[in-house]
Amino acid sequence: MGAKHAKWFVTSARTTGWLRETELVPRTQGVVESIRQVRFALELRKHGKVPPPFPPHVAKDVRQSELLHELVTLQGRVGYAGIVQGERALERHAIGVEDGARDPYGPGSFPRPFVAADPEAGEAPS
Amino acid sequence: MKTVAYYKGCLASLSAKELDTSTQALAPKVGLDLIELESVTCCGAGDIHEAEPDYYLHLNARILAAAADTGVDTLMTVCNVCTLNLRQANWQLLNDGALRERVNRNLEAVGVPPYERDVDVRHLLWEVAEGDGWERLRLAAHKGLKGLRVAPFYGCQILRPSKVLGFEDPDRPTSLERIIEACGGEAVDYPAKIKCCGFPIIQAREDTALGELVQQIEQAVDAGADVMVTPCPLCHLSLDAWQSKLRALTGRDYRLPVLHLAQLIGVAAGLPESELQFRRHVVAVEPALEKVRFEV
Repeated sequence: MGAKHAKWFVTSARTTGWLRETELVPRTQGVVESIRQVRFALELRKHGKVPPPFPPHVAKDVRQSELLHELVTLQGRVGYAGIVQGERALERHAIGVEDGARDPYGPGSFPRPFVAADPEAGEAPS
Repeated sequence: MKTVAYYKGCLASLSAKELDTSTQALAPKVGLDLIELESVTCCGAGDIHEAEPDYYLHLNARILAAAADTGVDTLMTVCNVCTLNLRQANWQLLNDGALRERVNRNLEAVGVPPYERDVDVRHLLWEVAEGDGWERLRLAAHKGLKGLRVAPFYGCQILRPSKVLGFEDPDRPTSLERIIEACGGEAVDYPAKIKCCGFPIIQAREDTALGELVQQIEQAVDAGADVMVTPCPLCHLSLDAWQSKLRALTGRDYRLPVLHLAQLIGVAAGLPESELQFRRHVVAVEPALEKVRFEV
């Protein structure tokens, strides 16, 4: 269910730019659960918390967002490769790598993890 | 006046429009001139960050580039999640030249100006909790909130990870308390004010999320709070809208009104209901505000 939730965020960003909130529930939890939640949803609707799905709230120049998604998909930094890219950046943050500080991949460190198509990758696993 | 680029995010654009209207009305009173960004999208929240990290980076780089293109130094947010996402992406881009070069090439390929001039990402909370913003806040909150006991709820993504956010001590924050007291209210202390509200899993694991949510609401009510204030619209949505489910779960009708930060300051500054839009709240706010002894 969590994965469906995340995938709907990606679809929303690609298609309308903004999160398609009303459709998020059926997309994440399915139609049956959505029906069970109708009473709750109607209460929220009274206060404007459930925007109507139509017309969709579309961001300006949303086509750029869709094209960016196509580009990053083509460049192949999806899944593991993208996660490692982000985790490396955050790791530097966590251990405070600055000029003169210890290189996490320097002498004495564990080998750099292998990521295909990474120019600085270590050796491929045998 | 300080000019800032204003990124409102998804919720303030739609289901939490009251946050946007109150922020825009409050801004000039606290010395902020907002340039609303237009060609921007969702920041991706934690979801795109986990599912497609490279796409998350590009979405946020596009937002940062749009802010830089306005010529300002500060991109102001009104959501904890947007703040964390944008600051995290900003850190990656500022500290990895090769990555920034690749992202900028991709931005230019789709017609977006490259992100070349650095901007700082700051939440509205930070803008009014210190410096000139703080001084202007004290002047703006002339009507005061005397007699109102306010429970601050920070949520997690404005405090942690502290190396990305770094505004205040993540275990002992004080910015909301300072603001409450500057507005003339009384800040109520309780342990769960820095915990997660559970919103990220409220659909996938509702029972678990409610187990998180009940802690803040129950502790704040037991500590004597009249209202709660939070700087995050996602926290606000769960704390406000899901109270009916807490009632069903616990048998206790908490009826604790939850305000956005801009609304709390807006009440103290005398903003009208047309800007504050309390009618959009699920738990009614007006009964609690009747306790306030406004300064004439």
